[in-house]
Amino acid sequence: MSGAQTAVFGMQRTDEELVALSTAGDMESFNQLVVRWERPIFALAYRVLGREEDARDICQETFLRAFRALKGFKGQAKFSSWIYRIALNLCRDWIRRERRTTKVTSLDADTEPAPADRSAETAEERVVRHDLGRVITRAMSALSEEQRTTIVLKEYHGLTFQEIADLQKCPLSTVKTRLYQGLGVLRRQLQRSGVHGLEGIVGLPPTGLMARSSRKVVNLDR
Amino acid sequence: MTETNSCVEKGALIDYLYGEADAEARARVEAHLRVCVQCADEVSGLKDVRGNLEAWVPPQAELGFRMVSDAKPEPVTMSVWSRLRRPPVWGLTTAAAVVLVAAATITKPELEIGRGGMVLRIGWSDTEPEATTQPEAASRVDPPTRGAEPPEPVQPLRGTPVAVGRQSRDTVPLQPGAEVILGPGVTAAADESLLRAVGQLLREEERIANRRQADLTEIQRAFGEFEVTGADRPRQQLLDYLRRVSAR
Repeated sequence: MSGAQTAVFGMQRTDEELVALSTAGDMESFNQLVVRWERPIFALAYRVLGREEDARDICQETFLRAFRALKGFKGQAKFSSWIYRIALNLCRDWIRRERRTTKVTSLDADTEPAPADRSAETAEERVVRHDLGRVITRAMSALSEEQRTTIVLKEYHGLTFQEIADLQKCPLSTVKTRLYQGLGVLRRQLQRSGVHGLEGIVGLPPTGLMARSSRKVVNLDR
Repeated sequence: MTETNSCVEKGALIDYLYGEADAEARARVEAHLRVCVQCADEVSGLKDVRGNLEAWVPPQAELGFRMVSDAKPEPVTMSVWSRLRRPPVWGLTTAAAVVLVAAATITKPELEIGRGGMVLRIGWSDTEPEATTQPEAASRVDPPTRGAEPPEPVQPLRGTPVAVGRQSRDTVPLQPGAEVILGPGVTAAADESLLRAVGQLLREEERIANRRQADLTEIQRAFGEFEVTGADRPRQQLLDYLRRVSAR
C-alpha cells in the first residue's frame, strides 16, 4: 500500500493503524509516525538531557530502534507509550555514560529557546521569557534524574500518573512523591534566582502562561 | 521558604494540583486550604512553579528524520566496481593480442613454404644452435619425464631439416623411441631412417621417370601409326605439344 493511501478521505490514521501498515512493509506509514512523534520525542530528550545535539541523536536513535523492533510490537501498549519508553531508556543510558565521565550533569542553560507560537509577544516579553527559561533550565539541573523525568512527562507531555508509573516502572505513589518533591525543589531554586511566583514575568498575560491548552501536551490516549 | 506540607497527604495534594482529584477529595482539600495558611501558600507556590515552567521551550531543531528502506532492489545501472569486474570486449581483444605477441616472441615461429610442402618451426635454438645444451633439449622434448631419470643424451642435427614431400612425410614411419624436436635438424637416432627414406624417395622418383618415358614412347608410337595412315596436320601439332610438356 502506498503512502498516499494512508490518508483516507482526509482522516488521519491512528498510530495503531500506521503501525500495522508499517509492519506490513509500508515505509511511508512509519514515516508518518515519525512526523507525528519526532517533535515530542525531541522535546522529551532535550528537557531530560538539556543538550540539543544529544537530544537530536537520541530522537533519531529512538525511531531507528523502534523501526527495527516494530515487528515485535504486538500492540500490548500504545505506540506512544512504547516509543516514549525507548526514548527514556536511551536518555537513561546517556545520563549514565555522562556520569561516568563527568561529576555533575548540568543542563545547558545557554541554549536559545525557540520563539514558537509567541508572535503576540512583545520584545520585552520575549526577553523576560528567555531569561526565565534559562533560570528554569538551571533549576532543573538541581533535580534528580527521576524527579526531572517525572516532571517533564507530566508537565510537558501530559501523561497520566499511571502512564508515568508504567514508564518508570515504579508505584503510583512514587510518581506523586517525585512530582511533589521536584516541584518543591524548583520553587526554591526559582526563589533563589529572584523569581517569586509569577512576578518574574510580570507584564505577560496570565492566560498566556497558565492556559494549559497552549502547552504542547501529548495525549497518550489518542 | 516553603517547606513540605504536613497537613495534607502528598498524593492528595498532587491530585488536587493537577486537577485529577475526585469531587470529594477536591472539596476536602479546598476546605483545608481555607483554614490553613501554610498549605494555601504551598499550593499557591507550586501553581506558580507550574506556570513558570511554560517558559522552558526547547529549541526549534531541524529534525525531519525519515526512514529509508535498505531492501530496495539494486538499480539497473552498474556500479563502478561491477564495471571494473566486467572488462569490455575491446579489453579482451587487446589481452588476447598481447598473449599472442608474447607467445610469438618466446617461441619465434618460422614458416617455410617450399616445393616439398609447408614447414613450421618454433623454438629458441635456431639463432644460437651451438649454445643448445642437452638439458634444454631434453626438457623441451619430454617435459613429463623431467625430474625422473635423466633422458638419453641427444645430438641435435644442425642445419635446415630436409624438405620432404607431403606424401613422403606421411609415409615415413617414425622409429620406436625416435624423438621429435621442434626446431631445425633431426636427431641422430632418426638419421639413418631418414636417409633410408630419402633413398626410397629417390628410387620412387626414378621409377616414376621411367614410367613417364615409357608412356611417351607409347604415345609417340600411337601417333606414328596415325602418320602411317595419313593423319592430318593438327594431330601432328598436338603430338609435338605433348612432347614438349612431357619433357619439362
